[in-house]
Amino acid sequence: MGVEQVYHLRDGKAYRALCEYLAREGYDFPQCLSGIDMEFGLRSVLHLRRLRDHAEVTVWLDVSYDKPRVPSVTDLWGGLEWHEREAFDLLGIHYDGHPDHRRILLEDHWTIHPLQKRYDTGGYLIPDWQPTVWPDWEALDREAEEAERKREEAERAKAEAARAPAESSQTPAEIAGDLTQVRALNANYAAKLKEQGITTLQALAALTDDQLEPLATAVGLKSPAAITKWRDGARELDAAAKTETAASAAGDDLTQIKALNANYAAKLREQGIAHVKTLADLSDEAAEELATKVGLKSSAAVKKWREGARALLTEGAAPEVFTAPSPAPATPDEGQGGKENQGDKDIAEIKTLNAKFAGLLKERGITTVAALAALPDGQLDEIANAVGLKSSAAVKKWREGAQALLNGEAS
Amino acid sequence: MTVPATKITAPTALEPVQGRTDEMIVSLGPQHPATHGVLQIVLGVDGERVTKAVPHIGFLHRNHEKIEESRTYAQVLPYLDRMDYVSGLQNELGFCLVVEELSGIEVPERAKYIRTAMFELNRIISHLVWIGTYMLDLGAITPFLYAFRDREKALDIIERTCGARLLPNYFTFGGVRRDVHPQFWRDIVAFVDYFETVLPEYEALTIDAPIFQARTKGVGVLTTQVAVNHGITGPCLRASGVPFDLRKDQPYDAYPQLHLEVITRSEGDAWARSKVRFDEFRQSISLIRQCARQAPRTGPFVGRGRVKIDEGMQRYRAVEASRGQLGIYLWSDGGSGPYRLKHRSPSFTNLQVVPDLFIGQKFSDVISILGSIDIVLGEVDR
Repeated sequence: MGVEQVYHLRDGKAYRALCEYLAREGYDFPQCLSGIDMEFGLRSVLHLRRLRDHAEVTVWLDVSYDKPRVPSVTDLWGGLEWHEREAFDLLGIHYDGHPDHRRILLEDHWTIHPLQKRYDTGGYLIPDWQPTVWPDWEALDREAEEAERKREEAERAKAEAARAPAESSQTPAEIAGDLTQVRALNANYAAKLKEQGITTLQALAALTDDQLEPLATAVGLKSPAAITKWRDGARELDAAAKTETAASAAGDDLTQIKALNANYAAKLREQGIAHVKTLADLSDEAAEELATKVGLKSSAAVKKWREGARALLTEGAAPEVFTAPSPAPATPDEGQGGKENQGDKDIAEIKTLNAKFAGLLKERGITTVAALAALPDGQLDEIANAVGLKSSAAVKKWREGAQALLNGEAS
Repeated sequence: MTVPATKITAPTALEPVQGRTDEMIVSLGPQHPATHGVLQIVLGVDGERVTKAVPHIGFLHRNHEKIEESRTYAQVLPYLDRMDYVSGLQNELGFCLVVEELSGIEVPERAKYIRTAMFELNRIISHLVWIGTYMLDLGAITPFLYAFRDREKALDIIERTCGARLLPNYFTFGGVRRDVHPQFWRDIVAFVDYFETVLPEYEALTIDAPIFQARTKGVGVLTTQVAVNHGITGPCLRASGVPFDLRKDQPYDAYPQLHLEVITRSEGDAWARSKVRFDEFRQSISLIRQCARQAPRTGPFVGRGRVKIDEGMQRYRAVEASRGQLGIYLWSDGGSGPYRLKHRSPSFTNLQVVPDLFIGQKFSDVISILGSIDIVLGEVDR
């Protein structure tokens, strides 16, 4: 692209001389000639180009309304002939020396030149826009920024609000307890179901088809249809609750964080860092402290985990691999449950019983601690013989061990 | 032509006319099918020879420039389509470039490619109309039907993208008005693939046909010197051996990133002008393919910015339209609309060389020359 140069002239002779000079300089290509009504006079504007190096030049010549005379340059550039005629036709600039100085677009009998600003359009072409009053662009920019900031804030608040319910509203356990959440199950029947031992949603959802009919009669219903409906509702709710738990547990799985292995994840958990967000929000001091607590020499690793946690949060990538919500540890409300629990244990748990004899006992049908503890005295010799022992003293000792295990753990 | 001193005798049927007969004035137009609009050329003929040619234009004059002075910048855009109605989109680009430059609006890369591809598609459409009507002028009807068949396929793409066929009002300051549809690039490449296969058919019917060559070769020779001095642009200038193409010499939009060889011929006659246009078909096909290959598929289609042009700012910008240099000269007084807007239309400038070409030619070649210049009267009269 060539360099554009503007010559601004007020004298016709200088204009002609300049044009001749430019023609000699090799400005061979006439691009455009136009006129402008500048309201202090008229201006003829000439655009030339030099094809050799594509340099462009612009020449302005100002003339008055009284004497709008411009020397014609059509002998230098033939292509300007019609352009000069057009400028004369529409603006009334006279080109002296033009070979065919007539109107070109309008009829010859016109007397006025329409592109002059004083041209009376007879009521047409009145601008239908108001005179320009430019607004305060900076103020508009500030307003736009403010609006943007508010919008972002609102979005952040919304996102937080969306995250909050998982913590503040009912826990899955509470949901599980309240049977009235099931569609079409009113408080009356919920109470009746509870009397029948159906206290949680899970219990309701876990009902088999065989159990439905007896339950229906027990709560005073003629057909099990309603209970079937409740069970389906409970199953839906249960599934929803599980998904929700899984979602809220997503933050719990610290091993998603890059460079944090399961071992340290467990250690962090011990220190109360159970959520990714908690880790991401860790201050530098807290990071130092945590590093010493989990047995690290420097806080570099902790900081790396923190970065990982932040990356995880900003990604918003709720990871696909949710760890299944850790099953709530069975909290037995009766001793019996505990005994059974311990009683179900393998007899190999008994300290005084070695693997060889444990195997032999299992062959005799004594597989659990409870079974061993419950052996009557009369059977001791028989068992001792069966496993190839001379006296029943060892068997007695095992039985004591089993009993100790049961009682000890249960208390 | 020299006048023989001998007395002229009445010609017999067998003897060809020698020397000069009485001059006859023939008015070609304004209602003549070969003028593609309303153009009157008053011809003085001496037998079969043209001795005088005086064109009269202005039958379609609407004074766009006056109307546009009373409009805002955005309101000006639809008027521009109405200048060269055969390639409407091309008219908008020059004005967009000027306003973008003076207001400092950035055009996103994707918009540049979309505009360039649409621009080239419009060139194909425009040249197709030219073949059809030119061959119709020369007496061949079939190419017209072929040309308008394929033009419809191209117009379908324009319609699907812009919503309108001929007057799309699609380009805007900073890019394009609406995003292209997802199949746009596939459509446009499919069209040029198809068009490339039918191009030999056109060539066989037109520039390779002996009758066409007899009507155009050596007819209306435009010398390099006359072409440059008269500001001729476009295929007419390049057919006279001047490698001037704004897409190469002053590139805009995506042209700097595209490979482009300027097509020239040295003959300068009507056939050379036709041949250049045919080569430009292939060039446009190549450019559209390059656009489709290089254009970013995502991103904004219009740049952000405000149209605000300060008082006293002025700029002349031109684009290489189908018919030549389509220039816009804008003068601003700081208002919401242009203070003065001059359209330098290629047809207007190219048409003024026509009398020079007619003189001394056979009467029937007038139509052949006029058609080879390829004018659109909507653009001549504005």
